[in-house]
Amino acid sequence: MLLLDSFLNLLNPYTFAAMTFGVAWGILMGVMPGFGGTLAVVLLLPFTFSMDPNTALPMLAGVYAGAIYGGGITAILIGVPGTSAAAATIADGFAMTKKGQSKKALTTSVYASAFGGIFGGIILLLFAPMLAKVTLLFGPAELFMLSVFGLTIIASLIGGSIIKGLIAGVLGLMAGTVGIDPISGVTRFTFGQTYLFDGFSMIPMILGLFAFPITMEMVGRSRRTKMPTISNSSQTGSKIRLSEMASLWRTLLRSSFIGTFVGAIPGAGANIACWIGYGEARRASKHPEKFGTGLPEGVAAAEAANNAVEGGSMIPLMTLSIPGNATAAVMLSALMIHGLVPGPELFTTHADKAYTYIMAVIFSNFIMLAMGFYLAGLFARVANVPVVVLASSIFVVTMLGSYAARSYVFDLWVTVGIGCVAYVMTRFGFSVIPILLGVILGPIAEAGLRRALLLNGDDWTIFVTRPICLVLLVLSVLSIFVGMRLNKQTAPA
Amino acid sequence: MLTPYQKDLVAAGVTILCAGFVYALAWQLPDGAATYPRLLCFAMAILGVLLGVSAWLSNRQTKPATAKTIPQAEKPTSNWLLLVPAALVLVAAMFILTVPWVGFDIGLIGVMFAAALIVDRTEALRKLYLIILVPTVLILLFRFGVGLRIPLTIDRFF
Repeated sequence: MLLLDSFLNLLNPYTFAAMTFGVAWGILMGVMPGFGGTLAVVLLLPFTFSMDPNTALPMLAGVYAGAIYGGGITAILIGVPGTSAAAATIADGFAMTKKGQSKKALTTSVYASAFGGIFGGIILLLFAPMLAKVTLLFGPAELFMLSVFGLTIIASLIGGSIIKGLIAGVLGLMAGTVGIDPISGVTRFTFGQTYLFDGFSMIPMILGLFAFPITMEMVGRSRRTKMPTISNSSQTGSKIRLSEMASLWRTLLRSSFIGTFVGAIPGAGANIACWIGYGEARRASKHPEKFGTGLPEGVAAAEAANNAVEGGSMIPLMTLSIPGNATAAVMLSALMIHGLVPGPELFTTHADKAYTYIMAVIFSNFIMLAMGFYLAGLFARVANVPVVVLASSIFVVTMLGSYAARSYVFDLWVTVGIGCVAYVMTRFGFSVIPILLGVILGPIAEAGLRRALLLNGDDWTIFVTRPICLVLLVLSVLSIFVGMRLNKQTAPA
Repeated sequence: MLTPYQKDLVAAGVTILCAGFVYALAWQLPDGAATYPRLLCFAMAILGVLLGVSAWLSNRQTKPATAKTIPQAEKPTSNWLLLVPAALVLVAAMFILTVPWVGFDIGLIGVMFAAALIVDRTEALRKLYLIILVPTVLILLFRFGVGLRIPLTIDRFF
C-alpha cells in the first residue's frame, strides 16, 4: 500500500514535472565535461527549499540518474567523458562513433543506463528497509564509532593519500563544532558572530565546497583547453534494435549487479564500477579481443554498471548515514535539509518520503530512457556552450543559492571563504568529500561520544568492550589498511 | 611552483598550525564543551605529523626523479591556474561588499560581466546579451520560483 501511495505521489503533475526537470538538468550537467552529478545536485539544492520533500527528493533522484547517463553522451560522440563514471564508455562508444554508428552507441547507452538504474533501485527498495532495522541496536557509543567508520572508509577509499583524506575529515568534524554546543549550551568558535550560533549553514558550505572551486577551476582552465564541437552530423547510423539489446541481457545483469554492489561500498563510486563492469564483460566474452573496437556490449557493460551505482550508493546512506560517493554525500545533506535523518526512523516515521524517493530512483530511469532515446543529440549540443557563460552562470547560482539559505550576506562570505580553502586543498591533493561528511557526521559523532562517556562515568573502554563498537573499530582500522594497500597498487611507479 | 613533496610539507605544517590554533581557542571553553574539539586537535596534529613524515620518506625514495621532472612539467599551467581564480575571488569579494547597496540585479550582472572578461574578453563582449539574460532569469527564478526575498535595485523604483 505504501509503495502504491509512493508511486501515485510520483504521478502528481507537480512532482512528475519536477522529476522530469531533474532528469533533464542531470543529463545537461552530465554532458558538460567537468561538471557531473555532484555539481548538478549542489546547484539545484537551493531551489528545493520551498518545495515539499515529496517533490524535492524525486527531483534530486532524477538529477542523480540523469547526470550519470549524461556523461556517456559526450564520451560516445567526442571521446570526452562528461563525468569520470563514463570513462569506460569511451573505449567502445567512441569507437562506434568513428565507425559511423553513433546513434546505435547512444541508444545502447540509454537502454543500458536505464536497466542498470532500475536494477539498482529495486535492490535499494528490497534491502534498505531491512538494513535500517540493524541501527535500532545502536546506542550513543555505537553511533560515535559508526561516524568514525564512515569517515575512515571514505577517507581510505576515495583515492589519493589516506592521511590527507583523514585530515579533510577531521577538518569537517571541526567545522561541525562551530556554534552552540547542543549539550552544555556554550557557544564555540563563533567569534561573537550571531550568524554562526547555529553553525555553518549547510547550503553555503556545500556550494563553497563543490560549486565555487569548479568556477575557479573553469576560469583558470578555459584559455588552455578547446573542446571538440558537437553538431548534427556527429550522429550517424541507425538506432539499436530491441532484439539486439535483449541479446545483451547477461552483460546487463552482470554489470548492474556489479554497479549496485560497488555503489554500496562507501568511497567506491561509478568511476570504479564502470571499469569493473566493462572488465568483467570483456573477461566473460567469447571474443574479448573485439572489445575497444566498437562493440555495443562494451557500451552496455560500462553504462549499466555506472547507473546501477545510484541505487547501491543509497543503501548505506539511507540506513547508516554513510554515503557511497560525492553525489551521495550531497544527497545525504539534501535529505537532512528536508528533515529526513537516515536510519530506522526514515522507514517508519518518514516512510512516505523515503519510499517516494526510492520509487523515484526507479521511475526516473523511465523518464531518462524516453529523454535519452529521443533527445540525446539535443542534450549533447549543450557541451558547445562557451565556458565564459557556463562559469559565470555557476557563479551566479552559487551566490544566489547561498543567500537563499538564510538571507544573510554573511553566508556569501562563508561560500567564498570555504570555496577558496577547498580550491587550495584540491590543488594540494586533498579531497573535499570527507570535509562534507565530517560536517554532517560531526554532531552525530560528538553527541554519541559525550553521551556514551556521560552514561559510563567517563570510561573510554566502552568503545572496545561493546561488541558492535568493537566490530566497527576493527572495520575502521581494516578500511585504512585496505586503502593503503589500494594506494600502493595504484601509485605511479 | 611547489613540488608535490613541498606541497605535502606545507600541508603538514598548516595542519599542525591549524590544530594548535583550534586547541588554543578550545582552551577558553569549559571542560565538557572542550573535550571533543581538543580530541579533534590531537587527531589533526598527529595526522599532520604523519603527513610530513610520509612526504619526507617518499621524497627520500624518489628524490632524483622528482627534482628533475616535476617543476618543469607543472610550471606553465600552474601560474595561470592561480592568477585567474585569484582575480575571480577578488570580483566575488567586491560583489559581496557592494551587494547591500547595489542589489543582486546590478551586482550579479556586473560580477558576471567581470568574470566573463577575466575568462575571455572577446567572448564576453560577443555574449553580452547572455551575460544580462542569465542573471535576470536566475533572479526571477529565485524570486518567484523559490519565493526568496532578494534585495534588488529595481525595487527602489517600482
